[in-house]
Amino acid sequence: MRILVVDDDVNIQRLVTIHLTQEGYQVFKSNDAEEALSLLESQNVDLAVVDVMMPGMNGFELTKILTDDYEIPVILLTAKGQLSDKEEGFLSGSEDYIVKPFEVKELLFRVAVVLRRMQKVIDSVIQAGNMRIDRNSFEVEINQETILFPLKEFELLSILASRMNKTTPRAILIEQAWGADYEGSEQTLNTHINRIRDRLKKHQATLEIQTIRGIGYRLEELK
Amino acid sequence: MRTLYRKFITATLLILGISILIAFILANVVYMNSTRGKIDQQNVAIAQEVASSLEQMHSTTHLSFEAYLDSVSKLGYQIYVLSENGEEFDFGEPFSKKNLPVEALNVIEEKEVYHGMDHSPSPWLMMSHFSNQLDNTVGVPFTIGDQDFGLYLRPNNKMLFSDVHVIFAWFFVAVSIVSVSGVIWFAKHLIKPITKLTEATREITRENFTFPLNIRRKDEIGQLAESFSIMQTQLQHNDEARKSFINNVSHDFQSPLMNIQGYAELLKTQQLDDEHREYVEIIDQESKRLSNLTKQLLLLTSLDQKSYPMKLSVIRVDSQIKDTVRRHQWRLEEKEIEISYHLPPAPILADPELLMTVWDNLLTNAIKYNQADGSIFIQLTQNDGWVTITFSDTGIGMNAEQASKAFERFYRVDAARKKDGTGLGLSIVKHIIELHNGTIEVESEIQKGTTFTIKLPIEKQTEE
Repeated sequence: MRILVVDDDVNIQRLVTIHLTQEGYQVFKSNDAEEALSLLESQNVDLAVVDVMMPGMNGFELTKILTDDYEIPVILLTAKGQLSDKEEGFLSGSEDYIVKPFEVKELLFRVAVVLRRMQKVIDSVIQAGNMRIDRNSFEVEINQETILFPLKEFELLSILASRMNKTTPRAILIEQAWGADYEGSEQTLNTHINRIRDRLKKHQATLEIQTIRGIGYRLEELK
Repeated sequence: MRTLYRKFITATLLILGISILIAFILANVVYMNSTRGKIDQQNVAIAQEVASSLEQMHSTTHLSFEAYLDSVSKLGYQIYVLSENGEEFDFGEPFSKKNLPVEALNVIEEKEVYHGMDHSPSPWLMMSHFSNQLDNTVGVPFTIGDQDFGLYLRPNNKMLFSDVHVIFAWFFVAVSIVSVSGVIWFAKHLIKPITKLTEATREITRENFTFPLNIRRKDEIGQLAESFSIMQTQLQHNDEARKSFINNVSHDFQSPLMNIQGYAELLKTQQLDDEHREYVEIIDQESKRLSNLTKQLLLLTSLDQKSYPMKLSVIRVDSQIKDTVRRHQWRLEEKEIEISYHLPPAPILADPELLMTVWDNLLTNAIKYNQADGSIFIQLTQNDGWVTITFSDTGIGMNAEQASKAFERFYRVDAARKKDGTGLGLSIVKHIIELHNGTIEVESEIQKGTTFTIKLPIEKQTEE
């Protein structure tokens, strides 16, 4: 995944770059809107992180160009925690915004969410038993109560739900949730599946995850 | 401002009335003390002259003086003649009441002059001077032949009120009308700029410092308007300075703080011995605390001003809370806390930015003081014009005494909870909820968890 970072504060630019690189993203840096636009002539990016307060063209104007002309999703960094800024940000078409000072982990999480939202692999809304999964808002609704699952668990559950009553092999689940080059142990998958089971039970879902020995898992409706 | 206008006119009319009354009383006193006597003397002199003329006529019958007295009456007198035999004669305008007092008869019997005009029966009012009665006359004796007569006379009122008097009366009416309508016009002219100034003052409380006054006068009101304009510019300047200061603090302070935080966090991921790791940890926590403290102190300072300018609009409480949850999702995931909520659409009239602070503080607390594998539940219900929101966590909780102090400024339960807390969060929350005429309650149990219950009116009651 390729990410463009546009910020006139060199220290923040560097900080964000270091963290994003550590997460395995390829990062392009630019100090202002003009530089970013000229960089886009030679490079393709999947996401842009843009600061609102910049000399010259401001972040809102740049966001408009990026979303309208390049169809690149944008996460805005706003300095003031003011709502008017946030509204203007959404009006200019940004996918998300983060208020400075933010913790880098927050940014990493939001980057992951926006990138996932962009990959339209499965239907955006999945209904299974008394459970409804919204892949746009990452919400799981059971008995009119909304639960926010951790991202990995959410991914696993939505794959299982989209393949209701069909067995999904462990390898596919791992690849979808952690990526093809995952090197962790298979025990991690068991732990996540068990957590999902606990949550389903706690919120009285009419669903159950069956272990299919030697193959994988299957989501079934309780009888 | 109509009341001031009305007061002005009432006062003018009242002053007019009082001045007429006082002038009347004063004139009365003067009349009683000198004028009345003089008028009586004058009329006595005239009557005596008439009487002596009659005596010098040498006529024997009373018929002969009739023609003379008739002519005299036409000069502007009312005349009444009484003979010792009781014969009566009227000349000129007849009297309305023939009520001669006993002492008036002394004129015939004792040949004494009767001063009825100096001793008129209603001595308090000078209007008695104009009373058309027989007792309000002067009487002198005269003799024709061997018969004694009394001659009673007074000036005819109709003759007293000459054309000049009528002209003066109209003059007085005209002056009154002109001065009263002048006062009305002047009051309007005077009050108009005051109304305008009031309007401008009201605009200033709404942070509008550019209300045009357009008052060009050289009197005190003109000076007031001029000072007001100067004050407007000064206030505008101060307001801009204040806002830019707040902006600077919130933006220019936060950027360096964010860098300190970010790089400290970066250091934490390096291979460090325990001691150095602890130092980095302290830098990280303290910079977070400083950043929270600046934000909250700024908010608290502006909230403390008696009339915080609330920017009310219709907001969706449910989407605000969902938005807050979304922003903290990474932290929830990191701490492995499960969050669930039931948030049906709930639009209310409130200040969006302030309420956002409330949700942010409550959720931050619920996360910060939660236990591993804990959970948070947020619920929203609506009834009877109120929205009730509960934040329940399965955290470390507080005892009853601690819970009762939770909303106090700078109160922190114990050192273990120091972390990056400032002790201001909940006091700000309470302040904001009260600004919206809502209530907040806390229920807590050690090692079980804490529940905050907030009630907000759907339509904020106006308090003016």
